[in-house]
Amino acid sequence: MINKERYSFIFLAILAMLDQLIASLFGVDFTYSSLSLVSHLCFCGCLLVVFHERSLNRFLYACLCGLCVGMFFTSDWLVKMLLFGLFGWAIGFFQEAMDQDHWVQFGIVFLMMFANDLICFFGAKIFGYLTMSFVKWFIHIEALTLIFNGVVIFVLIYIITVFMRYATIKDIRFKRMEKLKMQNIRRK
Amino acid sequence: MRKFTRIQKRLLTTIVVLCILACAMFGLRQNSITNIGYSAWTYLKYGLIQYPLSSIGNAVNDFANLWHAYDDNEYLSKQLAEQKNYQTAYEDERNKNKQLEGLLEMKGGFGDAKTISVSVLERSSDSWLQTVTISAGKKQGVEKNMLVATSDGAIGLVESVQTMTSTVQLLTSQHLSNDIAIKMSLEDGTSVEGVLQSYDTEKKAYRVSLFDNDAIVTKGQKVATSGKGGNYPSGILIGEVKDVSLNDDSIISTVYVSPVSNMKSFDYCLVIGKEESK
Repeated sequence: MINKERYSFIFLAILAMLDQLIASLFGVDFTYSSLSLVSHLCFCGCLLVVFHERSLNRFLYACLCGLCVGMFFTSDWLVKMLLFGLFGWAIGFFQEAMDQDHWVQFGIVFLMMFANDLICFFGAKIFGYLTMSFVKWFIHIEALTLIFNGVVIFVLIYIITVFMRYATIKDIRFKRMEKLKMQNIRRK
Repeated sequence: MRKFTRIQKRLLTTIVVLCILACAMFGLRQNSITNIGYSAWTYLKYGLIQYPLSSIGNAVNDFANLWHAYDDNEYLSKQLAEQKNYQTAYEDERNKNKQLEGLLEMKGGFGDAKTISVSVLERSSDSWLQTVTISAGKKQGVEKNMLVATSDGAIGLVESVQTMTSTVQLLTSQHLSNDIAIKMSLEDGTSVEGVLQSYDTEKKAYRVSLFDNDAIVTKGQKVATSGKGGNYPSGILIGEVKDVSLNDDSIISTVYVSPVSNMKSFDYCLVIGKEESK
């Protein structure tokens, strides 16, 4: 039987590393002379992994994920923990709609990623860390980020769907084997 | 009261431990005494996560740059090949410029003489030392038997004239149709006259017959046109004396004169005629 939690943790760790790799390959241009992108692989992956869980589990899984990312990869562990937790908990409200259609899954995760970026931007603006205008930020950073992560969400949905099917098949086989073993024991 | 499940307890414990650890690290960072602890944590974080990731990123970047290096190499190779072409083009233009400058300087020294600047249109390899076609004809005022000279000196006579072009018989031609009257200034202040009759292919020099057998001619003396006879003024350099051949029983001595230096290759020349020939 597959331990889904363990695989989810490894999957999210790989996504967090990929985020860092993409950040080092395509760093943000702080002169804002060209377009930049910020990878949200781990954030989107986390939302797609936890939305099936119960509300408290969702929140705790997402908080832990944000905390690990913030501690080991960036230095904003508290902000990451709260944002991951908030969106991880909030995505559960759309659980039924997301189970019905992949497009809905895509749409909700995409909107939440955008909302996460908006909160970060306006937060930084309110606390005085950023002075650039919304339009400039949207054109130079957010536009390409949305396009890139939009494609990435589709890829993540595909990977998670394939993994879930594989896990289900494995579960069914395992249960069959258990059943056969039980039958054999009874015959003896 | 609601009880937490086992997984929730585990998650909560992990979160609390990590939060305490993160707060401790944050606190340590503020305290200068405990820099060692913070440095150790930073070193671990850098060594285990950030350094390997940035190394992978750099490796990918280096690999991507290989393609750029290949493109750069291709571009530079093309540039190098073009550079060679530019260099030869530059050399060619520089030579032409030099010739034109020489001609301009020469043109100013003829006073009333009629001069027409022309370029060489064709010089066939079959008759390289025989004829050339120049870019001026009747319309520009070229007439038969006018002298053609480069910046170094005389090179030929106009043989035939068309409307826009003319054919020039070079002085190195074996069948020179007209003799050219020449004059040599001697060291004692006198001068000796003669006629350029033909070109000796063996000696690679003009055969010039002097009318004064007693004249003392030495190698290196300049030979120029005398202006007597022909449709050109006097004083145009023909060449330098290369060899002298004296016959006791003859009233005429033969002098061999080497042609001007750029006879073998030239792009521009002057057609020179007397003012009366207009």
